[in-house]
Amino acid sequence: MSNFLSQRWLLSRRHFLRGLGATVALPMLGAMTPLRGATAAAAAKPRRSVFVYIPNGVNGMTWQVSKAGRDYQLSRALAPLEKHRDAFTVFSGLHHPNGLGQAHVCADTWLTGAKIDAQSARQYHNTISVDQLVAEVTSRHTRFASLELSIASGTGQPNNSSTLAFSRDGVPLPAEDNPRNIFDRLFGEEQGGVAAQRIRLNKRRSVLDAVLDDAKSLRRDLGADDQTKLDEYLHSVRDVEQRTERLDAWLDVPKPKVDAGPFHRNVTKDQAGDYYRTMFDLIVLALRTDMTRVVTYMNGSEGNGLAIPEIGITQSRHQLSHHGGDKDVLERLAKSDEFIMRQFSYFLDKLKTELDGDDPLLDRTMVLFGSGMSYGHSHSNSNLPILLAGGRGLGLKHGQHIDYNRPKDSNYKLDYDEWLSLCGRPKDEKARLSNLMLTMLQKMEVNTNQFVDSIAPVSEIIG
Amino acid sequence: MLLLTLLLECTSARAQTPAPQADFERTVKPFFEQHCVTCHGEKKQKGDFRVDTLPQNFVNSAVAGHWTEVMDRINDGEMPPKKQPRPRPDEVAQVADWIAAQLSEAESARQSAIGERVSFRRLSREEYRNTIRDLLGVTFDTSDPAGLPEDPDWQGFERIGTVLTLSAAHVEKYLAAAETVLNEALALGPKPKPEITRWSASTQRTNGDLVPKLRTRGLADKVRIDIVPNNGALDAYDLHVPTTGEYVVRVKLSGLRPAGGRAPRLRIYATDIGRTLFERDIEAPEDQPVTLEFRTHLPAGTHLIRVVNAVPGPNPEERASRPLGSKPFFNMKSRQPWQIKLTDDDYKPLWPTLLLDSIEWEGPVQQSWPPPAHQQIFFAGEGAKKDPAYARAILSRFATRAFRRPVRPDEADRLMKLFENSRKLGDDFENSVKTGLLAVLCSDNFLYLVEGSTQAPSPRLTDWELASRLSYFLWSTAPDQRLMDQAQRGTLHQPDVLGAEVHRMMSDPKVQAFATSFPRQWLQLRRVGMFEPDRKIYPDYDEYLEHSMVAETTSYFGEVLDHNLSLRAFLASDWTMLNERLAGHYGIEGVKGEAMQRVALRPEDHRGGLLTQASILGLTSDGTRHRPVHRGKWVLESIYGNPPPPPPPNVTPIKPAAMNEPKTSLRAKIEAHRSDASCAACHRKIDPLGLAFENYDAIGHWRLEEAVRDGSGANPKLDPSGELVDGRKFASADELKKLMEDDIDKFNLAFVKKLATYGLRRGMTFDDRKPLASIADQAKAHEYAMKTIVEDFVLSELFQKR
Repeated sequence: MSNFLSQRWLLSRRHFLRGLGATVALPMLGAMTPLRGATAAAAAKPRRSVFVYIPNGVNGMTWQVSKAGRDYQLSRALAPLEKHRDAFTVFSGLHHPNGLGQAHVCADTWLTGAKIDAQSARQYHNTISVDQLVAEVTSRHTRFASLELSIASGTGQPNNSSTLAFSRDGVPLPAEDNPRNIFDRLFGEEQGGVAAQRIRLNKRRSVLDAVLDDAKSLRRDLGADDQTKLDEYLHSVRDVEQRTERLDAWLDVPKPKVDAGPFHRNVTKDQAGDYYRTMFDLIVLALRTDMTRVVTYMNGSEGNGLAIPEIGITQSRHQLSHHGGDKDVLERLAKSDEFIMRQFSYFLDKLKTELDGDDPLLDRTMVLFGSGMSYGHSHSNSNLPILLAGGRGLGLKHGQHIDYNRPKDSNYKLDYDEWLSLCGRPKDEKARLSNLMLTMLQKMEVNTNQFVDSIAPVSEIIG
Repeated sequence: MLLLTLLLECTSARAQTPAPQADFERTVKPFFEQHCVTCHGEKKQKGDFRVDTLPQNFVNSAVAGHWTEVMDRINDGEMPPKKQPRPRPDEVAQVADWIAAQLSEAESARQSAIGERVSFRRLSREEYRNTIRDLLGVTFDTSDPAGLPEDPDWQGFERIGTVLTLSAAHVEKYLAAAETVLNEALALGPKPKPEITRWSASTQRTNGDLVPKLRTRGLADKVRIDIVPNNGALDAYDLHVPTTGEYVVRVKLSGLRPAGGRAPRLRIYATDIGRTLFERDIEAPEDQPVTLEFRTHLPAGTHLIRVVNAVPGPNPEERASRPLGSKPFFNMKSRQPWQIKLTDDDYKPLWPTLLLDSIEWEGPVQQSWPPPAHQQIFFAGEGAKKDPAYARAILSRFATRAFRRPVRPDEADRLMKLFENSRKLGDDFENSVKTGLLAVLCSDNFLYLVEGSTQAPSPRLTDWELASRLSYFLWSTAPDQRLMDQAQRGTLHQPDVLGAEVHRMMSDPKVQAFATSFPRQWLQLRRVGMFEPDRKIYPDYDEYLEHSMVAETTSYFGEVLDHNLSLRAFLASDWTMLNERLAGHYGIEGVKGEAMQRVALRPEDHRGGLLTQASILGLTSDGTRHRPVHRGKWVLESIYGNPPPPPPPNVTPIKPAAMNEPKTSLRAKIEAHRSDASCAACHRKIDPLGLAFENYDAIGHWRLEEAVRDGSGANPKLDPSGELVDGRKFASADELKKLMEDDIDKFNLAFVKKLATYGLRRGMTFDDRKPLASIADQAKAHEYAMKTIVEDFVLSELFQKR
């Protein structure tokens, strides 16, 4: 009954807008899904991806895992993950070929793999990030296409991004940092009820339409070369139009009722642990309620990695990473690494205890964790610290250390000079982070055989 | 689909700027011939690469990539290969410099996007806020979480067209913003009733059931809230704001300053929106509290408000510092033994202490009802006939103001269609008009400064475009009615009219936008405090100091502008702008109060000019120590307009001294580093400009020795002396400033270039060289008088060119 009503309403609304003839060809599929979902046969089970970034690399001497294969020993930094050992794979020697010899732009390109030479004179131009490629496929099933979270709201600056996500145009997608706002955006009540909201969205669409019309008339007169800025505007407005469609279509599906308490309290960044855990809780909540299936989270940006006063670390992560070889500072960096891994372990705990049907949420959720930098002091970007967790239900197998540095003889001295030497140039030129991203893309059912400079999926983790 | 085919037509050919030849023939070509072409030339092309045919079209990014590689490889010493004869480091440096200069020019050219027939330069977040204020008379809190995303910058400039991108998230925020500001500006509902929320010490600080008891005993009014430094989240209360709008806040309190210490500092901070609503040093005796009043704009919702004593002090968390809810605080004598001591035995305060009585929030306050913007938009008043003709007139007027040019009939048609659809859906007249207004505020014509046209292409700006460029240059907001009138008449570009307008604009208070934004962007003041100074090393550092540091530089600039002083004042001077806090930091006595004021300097103050201001010294530091190389780089960029080439990748880090070695100064470490000839070539140019300021630490404190943690023995003495690449020597920062004054013409040209980048919202190109040089010549003729430079720039060809 209600389906019938809203379908008819959609039709009349489109009519109201401008008559079918002139309507832009919008991909309506996604927007319509929740309506069809009610009658359609049980859809395939959800697949999810989360991307968690830590800035400025790690202390490689306490991070590096020493033995390749299944019976490796967890390093000091990874020790907090002991109980999840079977649920993740740790990698050594991965890199982005385009990221070598770069500095803090590594955060901008962590998920895009793009060539951005921040030190030379090329214009900044990024490309689509892996999470957004995934979102193009998953967005039709969820209220929100993707969720961008970070330590700072907005996009940051080119070469010092505070978001991991980049659109098809290579434009950074602003992230949010405030748990209360994020919660309200996800679960807040529609202002004035569904009917009022529908009228609002309706108006919004007509406004967007008028605005688009206007801009398009100018676009018609311009040459292809002239249009970068105008195109950016047109694409963005059209995107919002689609989002509005989606919101509209979801209006009849009630939002899940969840407890706002933990997110409406005052969570500050001076308490790094509390803040990190609250953000992880939000991600788990968003996934559990299927508000979205794609999340990026910058646990810290290159210029803004939190100090951790609760364990006596008053310097930011960027400051720690410019340790200059100083033993005390390196020890603090190691402590900071351990601290972050404890929070990450908490995240995995949650993903295991929250159920998705009968299985842990983690089973159908892949979590890529790591940094775009390995040795922060002189900005080296090879031998990146990278983990992939979860996704057993999607056909991933874990519990190993895949070592591209020293696949055969994995005995590390774990001293300063060795660490430095591993981070400058890759030992295995084929050990590309894009391979791992390609693996994830394929598991997310994105129909592709290539991501940027990938060579092949990582067969060792495919079960 | 129709449009896609249409726009594939006409691709415009772009003029390529030729690279200058002189230095290439003299330095680069001989170098290539001697060291490179044997392997990368006509006969052999090792690695499929030859240098002799490398085109000099640096704007092409593939070509630029090859040049970058050449630069990196020879800089690195990787090329020529080890077995070949080595070039001299100064030869390498010359070639690398030449390539770096070409690359930097080319990057600038790309940021200029000068080939576009129609250019779109998005309003920055600051400009958006100002424009909305002028258009609708309401404040939009752009930096609140519900505001707009932070803008990216290019070399400090936050208004460069090619860099200000836009995504769907922006459009959503613009839409939401438009709805918010229109709701506040228009009287479409009942008049919001101002309400008063009163927090008194007795209700906020005591257990609820105690209040009636206190009342019966006549003590309720005597309860106060004692706020010591570092009270953090102890005093945080929920404020319910029913309606977005302006609120008047009254705070009654005392502030006790300890002998020889700082006054307590009241900060009222809204946690959820991350905004300081008010901040002030408070001095008022315990028995004579003062009442302060301020206004603030608050969005509807529940805000967690913190009342903070924002000065450094002991940590009260370590000890129960205050009475519990069941034992209210009445006065400085009513303390319990287990609490942190607030006073000495004579009841004189030990710490800066605030004693708060009450806070009152009243609002929303309205100037008039309906609000002025409502009356301006619905211009014919309540008695007007509410027909489509009136709607069209309203929408056309508003769009003309918002688009900063006359609205076109087809644009008005589209707005009217929205109006009519709304009417059909049953909205009343005003709400239907509002739908049209909403579209205006989301239009590209509002959000971007649009220059150029496909119908009548011209190398010069139209008068409308000129009005906008001028207005956003000096006022960071839309043109006012008078500029619009001049544009309408088509007279604005006439030199006498334009001259008179600039003059008028420079005397308007709105020019404050230029006086603060331009120096902030030119000097990259956004970086001040970006790496927060380590509290353990710099315990004095606080937000108040940080604000004062930035305020010194911006108000210094304002003073130079206001009095039309010479650019020389930026290099050296015998005065600066200080408030009490910063004067204390500099060790200068006799400055009182928070306002920045002009203060005469003595030589022993070791200040004067920009380069020894704490903001500049601090912005290049990393929070734990000063960074001479970064300081030098900053001087080359900001003062000489000549950024050095980037370092080769993967430089080995500076190692700390072992415990048994003597303490080493940073300077000594850098110099050891420089023994590598390939590094020395560039660092010879950079480092002296930074090392000259060794006597200033990471937050701009004057010092004679460097506090070094590692190693043994005494702290090393500092040595600020140095030698410039051209051989001129200096013994101190002051002497370097004198040498820089001799280079005033280089600085003058760099300054003009920065001014033009800001004003034209684009990078400067080869083509701009001549016009820039001629503005610089004019400046020289006028003794580098700053206001005159700004006026001459506006009157120049360059300013009116597309």
